[in-house]
Amino acid sequence: MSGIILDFSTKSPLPGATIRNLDLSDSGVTTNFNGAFSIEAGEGDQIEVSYIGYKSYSFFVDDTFKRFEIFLEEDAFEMDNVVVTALGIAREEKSLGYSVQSVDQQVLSNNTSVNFINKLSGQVAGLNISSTSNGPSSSNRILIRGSSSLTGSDQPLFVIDGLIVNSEPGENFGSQDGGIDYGDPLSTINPDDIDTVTVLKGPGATALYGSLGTNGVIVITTKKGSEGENLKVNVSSSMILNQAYIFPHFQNDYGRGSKNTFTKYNSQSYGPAYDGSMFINWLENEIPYSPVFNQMESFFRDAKTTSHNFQISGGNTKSQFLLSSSIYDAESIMPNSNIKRQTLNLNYSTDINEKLKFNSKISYFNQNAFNRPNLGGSPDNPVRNFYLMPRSVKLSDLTDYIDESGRVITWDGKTEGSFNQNPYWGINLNTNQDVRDRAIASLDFNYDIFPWLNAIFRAGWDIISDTREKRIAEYTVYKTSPVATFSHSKSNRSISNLDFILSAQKSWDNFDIDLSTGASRIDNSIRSLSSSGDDLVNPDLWVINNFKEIISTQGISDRRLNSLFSTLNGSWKNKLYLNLTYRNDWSSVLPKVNRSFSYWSSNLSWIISNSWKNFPKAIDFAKLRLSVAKVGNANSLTTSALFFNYTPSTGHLGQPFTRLPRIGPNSYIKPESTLAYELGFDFRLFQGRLNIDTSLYQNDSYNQIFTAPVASTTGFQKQWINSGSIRNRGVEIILKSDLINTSNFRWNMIVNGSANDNEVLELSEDLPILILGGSRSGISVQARTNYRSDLLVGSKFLKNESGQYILDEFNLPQIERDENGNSDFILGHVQPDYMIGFINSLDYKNLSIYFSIDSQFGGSIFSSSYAAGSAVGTLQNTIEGRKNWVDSENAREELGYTQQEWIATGGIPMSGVDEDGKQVSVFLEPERYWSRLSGVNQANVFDSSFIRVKEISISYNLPKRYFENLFLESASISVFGSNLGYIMRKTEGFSPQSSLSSGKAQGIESYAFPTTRSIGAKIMINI
Amino acid sequence: MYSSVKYILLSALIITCFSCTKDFDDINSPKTGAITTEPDGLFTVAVQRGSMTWYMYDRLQRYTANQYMQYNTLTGSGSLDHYEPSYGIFSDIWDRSYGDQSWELAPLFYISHTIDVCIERQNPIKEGIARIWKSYLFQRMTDLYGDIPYSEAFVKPLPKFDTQESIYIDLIEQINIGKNLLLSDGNYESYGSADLIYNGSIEKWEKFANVLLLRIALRINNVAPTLSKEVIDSVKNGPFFNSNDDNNKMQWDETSSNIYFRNPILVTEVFNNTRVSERMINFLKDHSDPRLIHYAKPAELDGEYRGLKNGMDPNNQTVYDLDYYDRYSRLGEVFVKDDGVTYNIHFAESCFLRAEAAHRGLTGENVEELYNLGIRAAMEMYGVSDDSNQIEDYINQTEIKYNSTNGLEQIITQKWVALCMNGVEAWFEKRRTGFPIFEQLEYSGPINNGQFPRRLTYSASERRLNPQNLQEAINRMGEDEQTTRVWWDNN
Repeated sequence: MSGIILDFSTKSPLPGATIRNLDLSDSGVTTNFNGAFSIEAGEGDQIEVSYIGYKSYSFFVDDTFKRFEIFLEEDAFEMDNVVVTALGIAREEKSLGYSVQSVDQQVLSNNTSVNFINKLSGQVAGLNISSTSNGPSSSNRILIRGSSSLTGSDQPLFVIDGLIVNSEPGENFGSQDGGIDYGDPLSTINPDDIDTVTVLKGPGATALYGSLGTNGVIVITTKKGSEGENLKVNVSSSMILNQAYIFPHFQNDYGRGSKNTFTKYNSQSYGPAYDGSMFINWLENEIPYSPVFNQMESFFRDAKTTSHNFQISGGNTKSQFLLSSSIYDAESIMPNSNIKRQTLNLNYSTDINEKLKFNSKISYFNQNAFNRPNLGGSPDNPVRNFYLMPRSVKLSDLTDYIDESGRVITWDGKTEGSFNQNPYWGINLNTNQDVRDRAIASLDFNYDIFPWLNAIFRAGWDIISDTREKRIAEYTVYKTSPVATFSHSKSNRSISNLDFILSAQKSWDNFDIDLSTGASRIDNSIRSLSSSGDDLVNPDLWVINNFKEIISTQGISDRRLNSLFSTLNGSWKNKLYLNLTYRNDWSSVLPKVNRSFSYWSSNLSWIISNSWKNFPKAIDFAKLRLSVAKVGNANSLTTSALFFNYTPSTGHLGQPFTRLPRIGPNSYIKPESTLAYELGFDFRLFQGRLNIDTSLYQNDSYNQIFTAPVASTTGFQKQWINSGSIRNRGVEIILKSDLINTSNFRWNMIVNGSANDNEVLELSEDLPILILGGSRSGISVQARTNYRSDLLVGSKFLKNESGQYILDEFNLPQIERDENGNSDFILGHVQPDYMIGFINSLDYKNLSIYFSIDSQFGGSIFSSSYAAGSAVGTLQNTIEGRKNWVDSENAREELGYTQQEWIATGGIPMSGVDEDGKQVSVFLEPERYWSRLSGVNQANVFDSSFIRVKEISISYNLPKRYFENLFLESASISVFGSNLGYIMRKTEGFSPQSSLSSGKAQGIESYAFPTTRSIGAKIMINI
Repeated sequence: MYSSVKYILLSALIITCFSCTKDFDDINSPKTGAITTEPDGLFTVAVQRGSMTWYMYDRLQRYTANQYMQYNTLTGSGSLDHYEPSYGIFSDIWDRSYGDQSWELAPLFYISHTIDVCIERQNPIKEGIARIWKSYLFQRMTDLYGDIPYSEAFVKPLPKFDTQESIYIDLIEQINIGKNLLLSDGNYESYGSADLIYNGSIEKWEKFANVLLLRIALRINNVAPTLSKEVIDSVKNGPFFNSNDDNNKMQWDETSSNIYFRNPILVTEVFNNTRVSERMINFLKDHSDPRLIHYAKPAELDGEYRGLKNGMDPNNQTVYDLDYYDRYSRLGEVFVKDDGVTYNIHFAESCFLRAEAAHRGLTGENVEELYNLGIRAAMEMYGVSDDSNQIEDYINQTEIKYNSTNGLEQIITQKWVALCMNGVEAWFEKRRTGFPIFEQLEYSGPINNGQFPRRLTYSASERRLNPQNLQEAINRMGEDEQTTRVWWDNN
C-alpha cells in the first residue's frame, strides 16, 4: 500500500515520518520529501505511523484502502517528545526510566533578571533556587532533591550544548564581616540565546556523568539556525524598572538616646518621644525634635535596566547559522552602582557530506560591574547603617560625608575607631569594580560511518577571566589604620572538554537495541594573581604600583577527569524500555590508590497502556518508571587534602616563615558516592489533556568528605576524613493540563509540587555534630547525626514544662543551658519541607498571558538585622510599652523610690516564673527587654515559608495587517513583571529569600539588600 | 566488514588514549605549596613563636605565671590571681602550643617538623640546633602540665602521654645528641639569619645547650640526684654564657602592623589593666635596687613607685574602682618599649644556676663570685650602669650579700628578680625550692583554697578528643588538678 502523511493543522506533508507494518518484520520505511511512502502490507496487517512531535497513529489494513492520506496531529503533550539526556544523547521521553523535566523557553524570554537562573524558581519539581539578597547579579544556591554533600558542592552540573561549563561562584563571599557577591558564571549567559533547559534530576539520569552527576544536571541548548529560504532577523528591546519594596518596619515615634534621655551622639533610638520641641542635633543645628521618615527608602532609588537583543539566522538544507548579540545595562537600586553586559554568539552547522555533519559555536560575554554592594555586617553596607542609625538622624544631613581634613562626617561624631559609617562615604569612596570576560567555544563532528554506526567527536572550551578591584579610602572610619588600602586581582578559570562517542543500533521485529560507548576528558585549571596594597604614595592614583606596602599571591590549580562510559538502550515493542549505563572515572584530585571509580545505573520504563489490549480507554497513556543508580562527587577536594604542603609566608624582621598545613591531609581519601532509587508514574488522561507525573526517590550519599576536629597534640586542628552519610527522600508531582483548548483560546496550567526530607544518618563515630557555618550572634548551621544537615542551631528561651518563661533575677527571660553549660539547641532548619509552583499560560488569538506563582513551606531563617535593630530601638516592634514605662519611671522618681523598691506600672508585660517556680508578673523596661532578646537566637528566627507571585507577562502579537508593508514577519509587544510580591510571608521587614551566602551557611540573614520587584516592557520584531 | 573493523579499532585506540592517567601526579601536585622544603622557614617560626608572641605571653605569663610569681597583677579581681584555675586559659595554652590554631603557629609542632626536615635534608648542624631548641620547648611544656604527649605527638592520631621522668631522660639525651651533631665535620650550613636568636652561631647554641642541661639537672636534683649529678659532671667545664651577648632572647619588630611580631608585653600593656606587683616593688624599694626605675613607672596619681597587691579580696569594693589604679605603677620602659626584647634564658640565669650547683656542692665553683656576677648581669641587662658604684653597693647590703646559710633562698630570690615578667621559669623554681617566700593571699577561692598552684590542668579539647590516653595519665599522675604535683616537685 502507499500513501501520503500530512500535518493535520497545516495540511503540509511530513517528510521523514516512519511507517511500519507491525506484522511484517524489518518493514520500516520513511516518507520522502513529499510525505509519500510505499509499504508492503496484507489485509489485516497493523500499520503504525509515527513522527517526532506528533501523535502516533496505527490502523489495520482494510481491503478497500490501497492508497490514502493520513493526517497526523501535533502532540501537544509531546508523548513522543525527544529529550536531550546525558552526554547530549537524545532519547524519546517515553523511553526514559527516570525523571526529567524541561523548562519552557517562554519563561526565559522576559529578561527581567540579570541572572536567568532566578526565573527557574517554581518551574521544575524538586528544583530549589534560593536567591541571595545581595544586589543585582547576586548568586543563587541551586539544589535538586536536597543537599547530598556536607561540605562539598551540591550545585548541579551545567552543560551547555554538550559542554561542561564553569558554574561555581568561585569563592565564598558572604560573612558577617562583609564580602562582595560577584555573581555566579551563569549570570553572564544571555537568556535570549537559550533554546531548551532540561533538568536531569536524579542519579538515574545523571549516572552517565559519573562523579560529576551527584547533584543533578541542568542541560542547556542554545538556539541554532534553521533551514528556510530567507534570512530571519529578530530584534528586541526591553526596558525594565526595578523597585525595592520590602523595607524594615522602622518606628517613627522615638528619637535618639537611651533611657528616655537624648544625647547628641548616642547610638540608640530609645530616646524621648518626639514632641516638636527645639533641640541641638549632632550637626550642632537647632531643629525641632520631630519624626524623620523614610531614610532608607529615600536612599535607594528606582533603577532602570535596558536590554537589546539582535539575532539573525538562516541556512539551507546543508548549512545553518545563527548570530546573536545583546546589550544589557542595569542600574542598581543602590546609588552609584550598575552592571553592563554584552554578548556575542555565533552558531554554525553544516553537512560536509551526506555522512559527516559539523556543528560549531562560539560565544563571547563581557560584563562590567561597578560598585557592587558590600554585604552583611560590613560597615560599608548601607542597609546595616539604616538598621542601626538613630531614627532622628536625617538622611539629608549625611550627604556631606567628608570634612576638609579628609575625615568622615558620621552620625556618631567619630572620625576613627567606629563601625558607624556614613553610607554616602561607603558608596562614593569605598568602591569596587569588576570586569568579567568569558568565551565559550565548541565544535563537534557527527559521522555516520554506516547507517547503523555513528561517531561523534566533540571538543569545547569555557574560559572566564575576572579582574577585580576594591578600594578603601584613607581615614575610613572603621579601619584600625588610617591608610588607604587597595586590592587588585586577576584570575583565569578554564574548562576544556573532549568527548568521543561511538553509537551502534540494530532493530529486529520487536526489539531495538542501541549501544553507545565513549570516552571523555575534562581539564579544569585556575590561575590567579592577587595583589593588595596599603598606603597610597600619591593621592587618588588607584593602581597597585602607587602603594607603599604591596603583597602579591599567586594561585595555581589544575584538575583532570578521564572517563570511559557506555550506555545500552533496549526496547521491546514500544512497551518496555531498559537502559543500562556504566562509567568509570579516573580523577586527578583523588590519591593514587583511590583514583578510579565506577558508576552505573539501570533504568526501566514500562508503558503499561501499551501492554494489554483491554487497558481502560480513559487513560491514554500510563507508564511506570524504575531506576537504580550510583553516582559520585569529588568536588570538594583540593590538593591540600591529600598532601602535606609547605607554604611560604612573610615572617619576622624580614625572615620568611614556612607554614605547615592546619588541616591534616588524608592520602587515602575516596570520593563521595550516592546510591539512588527512583520510582515514577506517568499518566495521561482525557485525550492527553491531563498529564500526571509522580516520582518517589531516595538518595543515600555516603563516604562524605569533611574535616573533623582532632586532638591538638597531632599538630592539626582538623583532619580530612571520609565518613558519614546523608539520606534525601522525597516525592515530586507534576500536573500538566490543557484546561481549555479551542482554536481561539488555550489555557494550559502546570502545577509542580515537591517535598524533600533530609536526614544525616551518620557523621563519624565520635562526631555527632558538624558546624557548617555561622555568625557571631551565636547562631550556626549544623549537620547532626539523626537530624538534618541544615539545622539552625542557637540559644533558646528557658521555659518550664508548662511553657512559661523562667525569669532571672532582673525578671528578664533567659537562655537555657544544659548540664555542661551549652546553650546550643535546634531552632529549625533551612531548606523547605515542600515547594509548590503554579504556572499558567493563556492564549487568546494574538494575546498571550503567562503567570506563575512559586512557594515554599517549612524552612526557617535567622535575622541578625532584626536582632540588632530591636536592640538599638529602630524597629516598630520596640515601641510597645515605651510610653507606659516612661510614665512609670516618672512616677517612681517623683515619689523618690529606687529601682529595686519600685514595682513598675507600665512597660512590656512579662509573666513567667522565677527560679524557684513562683509566678511572676511584671512590666519590663523595653530597652532592656529587647537588648536581652537580641541575645536569644530563638527570638530572631522566622518561618521562611512564602507564596510569591513570580512572573506575570502579557504579550500581544501584532496582527499582520499592521505591518504588511514593512517587510516584517511578525511583531509583538509584551509587558511583564517579576517577583511582584508575596501573597504570604512570615518575615518582618525582609524577604524570606534574604540569605547572606549561597554556600552551606544559608539560613542567616544579615543586613540584606531590600527585595526588588521588576516591571518592564519589551518589543520584539521578526523580519 | 574489514572497514568496520578498522573503524572500531581506531575508536578503541582513541578511547584508550582518553583514559591514560600518567600525568595525574603532576597535575595534582600542589602548585603554590611545596612538598619539600628547607628547615629554615620552619625553624624561624619555632624560635619566634617559642619565644611567646603576644597571645601566649598574655595567657601564660601576664594572666597566669606573672601573677602567681607576683611580677604583675591585673586590675579587677581575677580568679588566677587567687590561685583559682581558668580552664579555658589552660586549654588554650595547651592547644596553641601543640596544634596550629588560627594565627597561633604551634612551636612544638614546628620544631618537631624542623628536625624531620633537617634529617631529610641531611644537615646535622641545623638538626643539632633544632634538637636543642626542641628540648627547651618541651621542658617548659612538661613543667607546666606534668605527663604530656611527647614521643607520639605529631606522629600518632591519638598520642599517648609520656611520664615526665621519661621525658626528662629523653630531653637530656636529645640535647647531648644535638651537641654532638654540632661537632660534625663537613661544610654544613647553619641557619644564618633564619635563626632569629643566635644567627646560626654554633658556639652560642653549644653554650645554650650547656645552660639548659644545667637547668634540667638542677630541676631534677631532688628526685633523681644520680642522674642530676651525671648531667652536671658532663657540663661542668662549660662553656656557659659569659656575658649578656650570649643571651637567648627574641628581638621584637616595632615596625610591623601585625601584633604577632610586636613586643608582646607592649601589646598587652595597651589594655591598661596591668600593674607591677607590690611584692616586687617593695623588694626593690627595700633594697634600694637601681632596677626600680626600670622595672616600673611612677604612678599616674602622684609619681610614687607603688605596687599593686596580688590576690586581694574581691569583696573589697575599691578593687573595682577604675580611678583606684592610677595609684599604682605600670610596667617600666624596659619591658614595654617598642623595640623591646624578651628573654628565654639569659646570662644572669646561667650564673645563678651555676651558683646554685656550687652551693649544693655539685661543682667546685665559687658560689659568691657567681652569685655576684649574676646580679651584675641582671642589672646590666636592663641598662643599669655601675656609676657611683650603685651595683656594688647593692651587692654589699647585708641581706643581699651571699651567705651559705640562706644561700639557696638568696640565689633563687635574686634569680626571681632577674626573671621579672618571665613568670613561667620563676614559677617552676618556686615549686622546686619554695623561694621566694610569699605571704598567704588575702583571699582564697573555693577550688584551690589558696594553695599554691603546682601545674596547669589539661586541655578540654584533649579530654574530648584523646580521652583514653589522658585518663591513663591521670591514673598514673593523680587528679587533673592544679594541686597535683609533677614528678620533680617534691618540695
